[in-house]
Order: sequence, then structure tokens, then C-alpha cells
Amino acid sequence: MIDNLLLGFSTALTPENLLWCFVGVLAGTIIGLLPGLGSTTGVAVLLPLTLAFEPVTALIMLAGIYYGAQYGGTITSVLISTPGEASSVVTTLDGYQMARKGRAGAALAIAAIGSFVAAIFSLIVLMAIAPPFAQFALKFGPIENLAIMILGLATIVSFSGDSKLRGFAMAVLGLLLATVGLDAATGTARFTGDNVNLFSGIPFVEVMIGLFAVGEVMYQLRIGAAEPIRARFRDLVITKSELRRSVGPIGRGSVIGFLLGCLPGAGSTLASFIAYGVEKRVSPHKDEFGKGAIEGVAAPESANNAAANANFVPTLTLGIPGGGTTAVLLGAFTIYGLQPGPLLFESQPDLVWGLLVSFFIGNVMLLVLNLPLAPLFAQMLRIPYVYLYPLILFTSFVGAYSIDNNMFSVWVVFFSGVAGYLMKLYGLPMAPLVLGLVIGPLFEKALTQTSALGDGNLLVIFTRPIAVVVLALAVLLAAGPSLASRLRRRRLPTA
Amino acid sequence: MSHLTSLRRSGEAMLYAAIALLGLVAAVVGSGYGMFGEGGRIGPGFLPVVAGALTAALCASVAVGVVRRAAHGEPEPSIEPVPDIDSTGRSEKQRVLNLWVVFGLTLVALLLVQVVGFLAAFGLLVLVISAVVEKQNVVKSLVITTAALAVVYLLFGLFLGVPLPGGMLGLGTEA
Repeated sequence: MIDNLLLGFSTALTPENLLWCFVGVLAGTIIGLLPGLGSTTGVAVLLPLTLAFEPVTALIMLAGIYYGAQYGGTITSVLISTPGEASSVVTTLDGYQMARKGRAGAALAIAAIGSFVAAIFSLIVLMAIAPPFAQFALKFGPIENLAIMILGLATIVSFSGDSKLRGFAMAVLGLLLATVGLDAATGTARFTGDNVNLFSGIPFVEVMIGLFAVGEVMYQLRIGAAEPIRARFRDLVITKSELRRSVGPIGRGSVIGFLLGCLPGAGSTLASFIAYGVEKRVSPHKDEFGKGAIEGVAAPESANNAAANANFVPTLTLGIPGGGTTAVLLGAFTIYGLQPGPLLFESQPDLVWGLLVSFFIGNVMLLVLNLPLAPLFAQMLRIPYVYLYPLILFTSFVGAYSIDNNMFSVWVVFFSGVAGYLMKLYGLPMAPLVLGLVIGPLFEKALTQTSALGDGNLLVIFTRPIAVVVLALAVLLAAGPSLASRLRRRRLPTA
Repeated sequence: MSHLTSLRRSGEAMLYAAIALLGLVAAVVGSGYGMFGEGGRIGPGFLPVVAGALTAALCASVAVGVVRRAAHGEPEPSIEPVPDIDSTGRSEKQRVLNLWVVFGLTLVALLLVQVVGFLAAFGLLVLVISAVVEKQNVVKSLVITTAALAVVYLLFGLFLGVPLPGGMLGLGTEA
């Protein structure tokens, strides 16, 4: 282990690798700041630039773009309620509310600290137990994945507060919208109206931009609350009490993120939602959630960053991409003539350990870069809203266009913006809708495969121990609190 | 209760009812895709039918709850209270008008993309909103618009190579 680490440091600490790691982190942060452009697009777009590099240097830079973009997306989630990726959606709930109260700097700082701690934690675990953990993750077949997604949906119900029914309704609506497009198993076109743009489904990044960014602008115009935020510079710095409150959420978020991040698919998004749900359940400041609780930023940000690193467990050890960005990175490995899988650790130790150590260095760079910059980024909110909101509209539409280079994406943003405005005005919860839309295709795939494994009998799910444990957790999370309070009420008259 | 709050409450009930109807229609249409396939395995219509029916049932239940609470004069937990006059002195009527104007201008900008190109259409949108709708200083608005166009051109057009449509004027970044 120590020898491997030393080998990794000697590879990652060359001036050339340090420079490109920094360039990757910086470029990633900038890309993450642009609405619609997440880490997957960033890595895909900049991949050709790295073809002339040594493989290890290229991968270090691309990995830097990956986690840099994650943080860049957080900045826009907090400042203008525009999540860069689905995994940052839940950060907007409390991060944006903190920003509206003049605490944007603190929200960004805790996101940077939480992301850093989670990254370091997940790296240590990744270095120590990646191969055996990957073998364990292999036990997660379609049935277990289905159970995990049900757990994710149950989390939504649990954190919808007074509006559990509304949250559940919106999550199911999200699942329904996710069925638009060609059915993966049979190729049947569903709800497409013969529009080819809809064959691959409703594009969720565009929906996210519309719901959160455009919808928020319209809502602010309607309620007239959009004043510039006049926070003093010292108000933008995180306080000791906020740091203390964030320790637990960062720890729990890191563990949840790592565990779910090892699973291929929507690991990061589910992890951030579940971490938020768990925090809302255990926090002594439950009432502040949704109104600007620092735990509501610390937990999901730690979770999605831990998950982003954990995505590398199946990628490096099994050659199975953990998410969209690691799928592109897997492609990069192949371009450089490398074959990810169990033998990679043996055949290319300098590359693997150099890459893993570069994550550590990159995350230090990200923290050093972003912690002092957090209050400065937050100063952006001092721009009068009358100038800011046309710019938000402009960047949202141009960001949407750049995803697929077509006007269909732009129109999706426009109509989702109208839907987002109506949802905000009438108090319909948006985060569950997005989660339903994001996990919908994976949920249906797991459901179809489970049905096939059980020869049409979905109860086969109860024959798998891991799935049963996860389902029991889901039931506890969704129904536990109301059952407990009902029991308490029943006991009271007899007491 | 303010006029706006009462309007929003009935709007909320109507919105949930509309989504319930959408769910119902989706369930009916979805049943045409085939609920079950070979050997009783689920087919392409299974999730649309189940999710559609659940959406319809849940949203109808929420809508009924909203109407029932309104009839009993109980407060609605999901609706944030809004003042009739905002901090800048704008009345509800002015705010609604402002919203419709911005909504219309955005729609016009989207339609103009094919004619004048993406950058020109959205440059005009930013300028018109800040200088005309929000009545801000014209020079300041021009400076902000130019800076925004330059940043978008550099980042999206040059750095990321996004082929922004130039319209009939050819003012885009298409090759």
C-alpha cells in the first residue's frame, strides 16, 4: 500500500502532471458554471485536446475536469438555483435559500469543504478496498438495483415534509415522463407523437434548467422578491457554528455517497437525495430544511462528491462505468490503449496509483482555489436582479442549445420554465419530479429485468437478501415516522 | 387571506386536477402499448399504466384535499405567503404585466433565432429587458449586453466549439 502510494505520488507530482491537473480542475470549474454543461460534456468536449499527452497526464487532466465540473455546478445551484447536474438538484433546495439570506459564501464554502472531505474519505477507501468492494458491488444485479431505486423514491416521500403526498405524486409523475421515448426492451415508441427528438426521451438536463433556472426567474418576477442581496463581506464567510453543524452531515453524506457511488447508474443523484433525506430525519434543525439549513448543503454535496470518486471503483476494477462521465473516461482509456479491469492494477501500477493520487492533489487544488473564492463568487448576487435575470435567461438557453446543438433543447427549456413557474407558484415540489425523471429509465430497466428473472413474477425481489434489507429500509424511511407517531397517539390516552 | 393567495389556492387545485387528467390519459394510452409480454413478463405499457394511474390517483387526492381545506378555511402548507405590494413598490397587477412582457419577449427571441441568429436574438433580449422593461440606464445596459455576448461567444463559440446558429444574417459560430 505504502509502496503504491509512493509510486503514485512520484507519478502525479511531476511539474507536467501538476500543471495539467490544475488546468483540468480550473476548466472543469468553468464548465460546471455554465448551465447545461456538466462533467460528462466537459470531459467529452476536451478529450480530443489530450490525445497528444502521455496517457497518465491525459487521464489526470480529464479526472480534474470531472470533479472540477461537479463543484462548478454547485456554484450555480447555490447562487442562481441552476443545477449543473442532476446530482446538484437537491443542493438548490437549501443552498439557494441560504444565498437569498446573504449566506451564499458559507453555502459555497461548506460545499467545497464537504466535497473535499468526502473526496479524501472515498479515495482512502477506494485505495484500500477497491478490488474486494467491486466484487461485492457485482452482487448488485437488477433486483438489488430495483430495491435501491425504491429506497431512493421512499427517501423523497420522507423528505417532502408536510407534503408527502405531493412529493410522491411528483416522483411518480417523473417516472411517467421518463417513459416517453423508445422502450429500451422492445423499441416501441411511447408518447412521442412521431417526433424524432422525443425518441430518446425527454432530455432531463434541459428540463432541470427550465424548472429551476427559468422557472425561478419567472417566479421572482411574479412575486417581486428579487432584490439584490446586500450581504457584508464578513457575512459571506462560514462561521464556527456552521462548521460544527456540518461535521455529521459531511461524514454521513460521504459514507452514503461512497456506498451508492460504487453502483453503476444514477448513483450520485440517488446518493445526494438519500443523504439529504437522512439528514432531514436525524438533524436537530429539521425545521430549517428547505429554508436554508447548512446541513442541506453539506450532506448532498459530500455525498455526490464521494459518489463521483466511488464511480471509479467499478470503472477501474471491473471496466464497468459507474456513471456518464466515467463511461466517457472508459472510452479515453481505450483510446490510450489501456484495458480497465482487474489486471489494470497489476499491469499499469504507475498509471492507476498516479491517477488515484492525482485525485487527492486535484481536490486539494479545488479546495485552495474555491475556499477563498467562495465569498467572491457570492458577490455576484450583488448585481441588481434587473440585470442578473436577463443574463440567467441568456446563459440558460445557450447552455441548453450547446447540449445537443439543436433548438429542440431550447424549446424544452422554455416549456419546462413555464411548468417550473407554475409549480413554484402553486407549491408543487420539483426535486422529486427530477429524481423520478432521472432514475425512470434505470428503474424501468431494472423492473423489466426483475420481471424476466422471476418469469413475470415481481415477488422474486423478496428472494434476494440484499434487496429485502434495502426494501425494509425503504419502508422504515417512508412509513416509520408516521407509524411511530400513530403508536404514540394511541398510547397517550391509556397513559 | 390576500386575493393572490386565494387565486393561488384555486390554481393549485386546478393544476393538480390537470396533472391527474394527464396521468389518466397516459394510463389509457399506455395500455395500448401492451402491459405484459411473453411469459407474463412486463411489457412496454406496464410502467406508463402504473405510473399514469398512480399519478392520477395521487394528484386527484391532493386536489380534493386542497379544495376541502379551502372550504374549511384551513391554511395551505405548500403555499408561501406573498405580499400584495412588493418591496420595490410594484403592485400585483404590475408584476403580472412585467412577467407577461418578459415571457413574450423570450418567446420572440426564440422565434428570432432562425432569422437573426442566436447571439443577436438573445443580445436583443438582454438589452430590451434591462433598458426598456426594467427602465435601467441605456449605456449600462449596452455595456452589460456586450460583455455577456463576448463571454458567451468566447466560452461557447470559441472554447467549446458550439455551432450557434447565425440565422439569415450569419452572425453565429457555425462553421
